[in-house]
Amino acid sequence: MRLLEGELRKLIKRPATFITLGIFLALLLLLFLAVGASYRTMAALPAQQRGGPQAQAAIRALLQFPAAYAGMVSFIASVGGLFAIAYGAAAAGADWGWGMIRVAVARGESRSRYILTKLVAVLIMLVPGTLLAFAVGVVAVALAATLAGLGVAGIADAGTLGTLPWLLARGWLSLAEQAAIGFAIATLARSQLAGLGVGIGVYFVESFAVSFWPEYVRYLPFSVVSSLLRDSSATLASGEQLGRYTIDQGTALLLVLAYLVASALLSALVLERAEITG
Amino acid sequence: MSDAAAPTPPEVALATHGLTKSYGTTPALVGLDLTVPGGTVYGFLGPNGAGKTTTIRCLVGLIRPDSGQIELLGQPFTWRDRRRLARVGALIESPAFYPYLSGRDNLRVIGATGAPPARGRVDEVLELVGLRDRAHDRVGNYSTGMRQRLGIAAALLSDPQLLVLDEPANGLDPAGIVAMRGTLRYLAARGRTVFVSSHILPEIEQLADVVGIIDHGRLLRQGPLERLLQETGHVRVRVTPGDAPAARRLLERFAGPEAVWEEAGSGRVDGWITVRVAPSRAGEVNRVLAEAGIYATGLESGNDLETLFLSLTAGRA
Repeated sequence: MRLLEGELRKLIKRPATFITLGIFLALLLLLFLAVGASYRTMAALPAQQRGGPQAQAAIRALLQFPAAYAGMVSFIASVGGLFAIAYGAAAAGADWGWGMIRVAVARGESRSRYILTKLVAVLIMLVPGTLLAFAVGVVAVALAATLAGLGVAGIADAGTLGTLPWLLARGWLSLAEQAAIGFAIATLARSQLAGLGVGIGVYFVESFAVSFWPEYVRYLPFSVVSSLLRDSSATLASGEQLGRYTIDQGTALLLVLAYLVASALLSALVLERAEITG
Repeated sequence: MSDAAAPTPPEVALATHGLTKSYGTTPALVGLDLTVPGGTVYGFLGPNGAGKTTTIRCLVGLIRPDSGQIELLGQPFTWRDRRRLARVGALIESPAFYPYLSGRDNLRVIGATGAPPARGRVDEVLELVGLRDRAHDRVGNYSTGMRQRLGIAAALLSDPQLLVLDEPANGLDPAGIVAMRGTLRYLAARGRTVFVSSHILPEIEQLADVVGIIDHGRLLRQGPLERLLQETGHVRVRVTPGDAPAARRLLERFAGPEAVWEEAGSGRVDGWITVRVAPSRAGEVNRVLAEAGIYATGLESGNDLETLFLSLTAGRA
């Protein structure tokens, strides 16, 4: 508990925590407002210039409550995943860069306990991060929907509100898995920059590869997140495509957990065996 | 400082037996045997690349020796045996901190690892190293000397029985060095053992009870400082640069080739030649040169750690 408190203290006071969250929240706000403004412009155009009905429906699904809740969490988990990778990598890599690993080990701290507690602290920090992003997202969507002239009817839909805890839990879990991957890569590379670069690189490679080998790539760490949040993805892809690009939610949940645990174990194993010379 | 009664130090606080370590094909330690008596300040000396930091990394479990044994506070220690380190405080290489945290917060988060410090200990060690007034400032704004002092505070956090310090005087101003020396002597007087690696020979000469000198990963000499100095007298003679080669040949004939060296790289003015002989033989040295028509422009004699160090390490800085 003492160690966890220490790790949380480091993260709470670290500027990177607020910079990462601040940039993401600003991006979230701007993107939804841009979508709202685009829809408004589109709606003002003559019918033949408005784009296909599918495109309009997709935008409406993003902006109209209650469906917008799921779309927003999906956005938080996917785009926010990049920020989660960066945050996980920063938490693990900085300890190597600043030489704090050697201080902890030389004080007799268990290597595994140290690194796993640090990861747990990162995952705990993602809880308020997810909730704050969701709150800002609701405001952003409400503003964008108003801007688009769609209104906010459905924002208090009781049925959807009842499913929000599970939706948010899946959103958090998705971010947690991605942060753990960034964390593990940074531990392996002993560098936050390497963790960040490799983590984000793999993220994009996977996003690109899914177009060519969807039946395999859908099981990979960043793609399973889409399957875990399939409720929202369904609004963006046709049902036919969905089967090729996603897996069932139960399997996705297991895989996300497996990647999370595997990242944690890899981090612990790497540090247990590491010769600390820097 | 803790007011707890001074514990009886173990007879041997730290020992290594045949410690070896290589980085790839480069040997860093070659059968190192150290014996650090309890309750003393042990000066660990060696030129750059001699293996001092590698030794310290092995002692605190950062790296795994290839072979050999370590004993910490009378018990065998392997790199995974973390409990033994609960009674060891260490400052390894440059002090490490989170730059965005204050000095106090850094000590708190460091104290969250390993052996828990006593209540109020953070303030106690901050006071001890003279950082109480700057405890709330971010470490990123600290000077090198302040970071060094905070590093010493971190090493003292869990009131260790054995303190391992790697170049603790780095970046300290003269007042800081004097204060650090006082603190370390106080700790030794309270039964703690202090193992200090340093390049600053006069500092070690003033501080240490026992010294060990290593080079190329091997122990060259170890023992009580006073005894080693008694064994190692010297005479230094200064001649003009033109006379230096001939003077050196004469002195090598007089005292043996291994007992004569020029102090290149030691920061002295060129032309000084050191002869390892008893200080009482300074007159004989002078006579040998004068009889050959070489007249010394300077002559001094004595016993000091620098001479001992340079003679053992062949002048390697």
